[in-house]
Amino acid sequence: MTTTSLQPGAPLAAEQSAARQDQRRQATFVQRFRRSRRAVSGLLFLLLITAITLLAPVIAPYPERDQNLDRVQLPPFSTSSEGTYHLLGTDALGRDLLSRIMYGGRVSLLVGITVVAVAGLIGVPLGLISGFFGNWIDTVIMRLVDIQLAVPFILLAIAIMAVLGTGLWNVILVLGCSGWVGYARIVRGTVLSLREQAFIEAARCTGLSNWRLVMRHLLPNVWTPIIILATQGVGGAILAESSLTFLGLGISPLIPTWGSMIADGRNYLTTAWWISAFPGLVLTSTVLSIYFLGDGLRDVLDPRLRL
Amino acid sequence: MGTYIRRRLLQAILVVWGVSVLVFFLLRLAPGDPVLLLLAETAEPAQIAAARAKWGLDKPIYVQYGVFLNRALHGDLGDSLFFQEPALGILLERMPATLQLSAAALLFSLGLAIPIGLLSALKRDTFWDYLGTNIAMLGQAVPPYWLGIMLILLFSVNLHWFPTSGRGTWRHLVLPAVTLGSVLMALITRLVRSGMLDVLGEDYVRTARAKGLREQTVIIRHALRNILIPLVTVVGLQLGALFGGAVITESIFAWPGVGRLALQAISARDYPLVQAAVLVISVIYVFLNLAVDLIYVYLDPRIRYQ
Repeated sequence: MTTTSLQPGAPLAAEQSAARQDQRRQATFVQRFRRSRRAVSGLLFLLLITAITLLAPVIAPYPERDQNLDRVQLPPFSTSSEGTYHLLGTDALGRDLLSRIMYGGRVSLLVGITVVAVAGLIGVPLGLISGFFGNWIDTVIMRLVDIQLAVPFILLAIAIMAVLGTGLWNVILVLGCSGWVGYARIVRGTVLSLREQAFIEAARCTGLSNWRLVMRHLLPNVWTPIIILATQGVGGAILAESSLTFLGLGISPLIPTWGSMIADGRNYLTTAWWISAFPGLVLTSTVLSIYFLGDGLRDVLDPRLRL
Repeated sequence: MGTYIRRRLLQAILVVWGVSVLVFFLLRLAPGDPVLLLLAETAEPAQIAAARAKWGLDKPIYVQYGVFLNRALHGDLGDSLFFQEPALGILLERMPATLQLSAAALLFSLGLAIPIGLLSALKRDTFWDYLGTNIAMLGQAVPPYWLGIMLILLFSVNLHWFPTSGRGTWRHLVLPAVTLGSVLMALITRLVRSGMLDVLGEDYVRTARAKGLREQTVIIRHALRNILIPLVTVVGLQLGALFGGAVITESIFAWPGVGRLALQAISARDYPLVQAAVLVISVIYVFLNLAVDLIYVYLDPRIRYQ
């Protein structure tokens, strides 16, 4: 795009061929993606889970908070004395497990996506700045990364949650603010290798401002690792949230979440294994499908990338 | 080489100092008064003030940090408010249990991951590869605390093979080690597989085969050796995560280690103990990484630092 003024006819032809190339690349993207069985099954399962959790108020068989002491700890596939049917059984307070799992997924998916957004919004700009400007800015940012990495993440998260108190937004804040490191590092690394390349040199020679250089020429080239990292980050954030909630330091026990349901069932392992087992199974499948999707995306977008 | 070690050492110290600032100020900003938590509800205001003065909690926060740092440099990380004993001593007392658990978890993950990763790479795109990579991905997707609970359910509650909790015989160690090592196992499996796939395509592997060496020798002497560097890096970096994971694993299995202690200290707002725990774990972690960097030079003579 920077050499357009040489010949009046050239840009049109160049743009056309670029558009065609774009189209071809897109076609191969879809084709290659579809060839990856893992990626497709991951995506489908994820869509299913998303649909179920979004539609929970409509399709859940019972209200998720309906307690009933006449039907506590019913095993899967059982009908209570009142004639209500419970596919996955009930918990210690007589709440329908299936309904709670449906609602519980809402928190997981919300946390997963917002945490990645927060982490990316902090990490990507810092990585760009660090890689592009170098010098002392780079040193300061990379030391911050080192400090953050020196404290085991879960220990730090537990400490901060103990300080801030439990709650959905606090969880997102904590996980987002500790997740930026990965983005900063990978963006910085990519920028460092791009910075020396001819097209950046050329763009610089045309007198572009730093801002436009970064936004127009560097950022588009770091999207691939960011997308892959973000996909896997959603899975990681869901796991981290559920761990914190399991420890009683995440989301309030009043809201049904997969982590708190697993924690609930821990006390009834000898009498009602299903209370812990099913939420964990759904949680694992969801995270697994996200990882499958991330892996498939990597294979298609950039097989050389190690994440 | 000497300059490099000095520079890395300086960086490590800087990082540890940063961690101390982070942890100290973070915990001081917390709501909830540790003095009120510890003293009886009937404590007189004078008693409260006396306790505050005794623990230095009545001074400005930067003075408290200065005192803390000075003492820390002399090996005194303060007394635990709850145990009324030196925090460092309590930590060191629990350290062997955590080290034992971490070592067992590491052994479990390496012992399982290297064969699975090798098999996956050697039988690429077959059923075995598919199985191996799926096991690896599953290991990353399973929440360790749920895995722990399910292991207890299956092997303790139903089969009575292993005890549900506590520390003692080797039987006590099995389930916690598997729980803690599962994530690392998954990571190493993937690393071994992708590393082997890269290496197997190299010229020196072809040369080794062309020389007529046995396939076993080619794989172990020529291929596997070359993935040691990424392996050491990942293991070194993940040891910190292993300590972190110990917080959850130890509390599920009532394992009397540092992780469980840290969690108890956090919920009791035992500031000195939390600080000491995070600091000690971070120091171990930072210096492990330093050691990993230095081990490189011996593992790979091609690497020369200026």
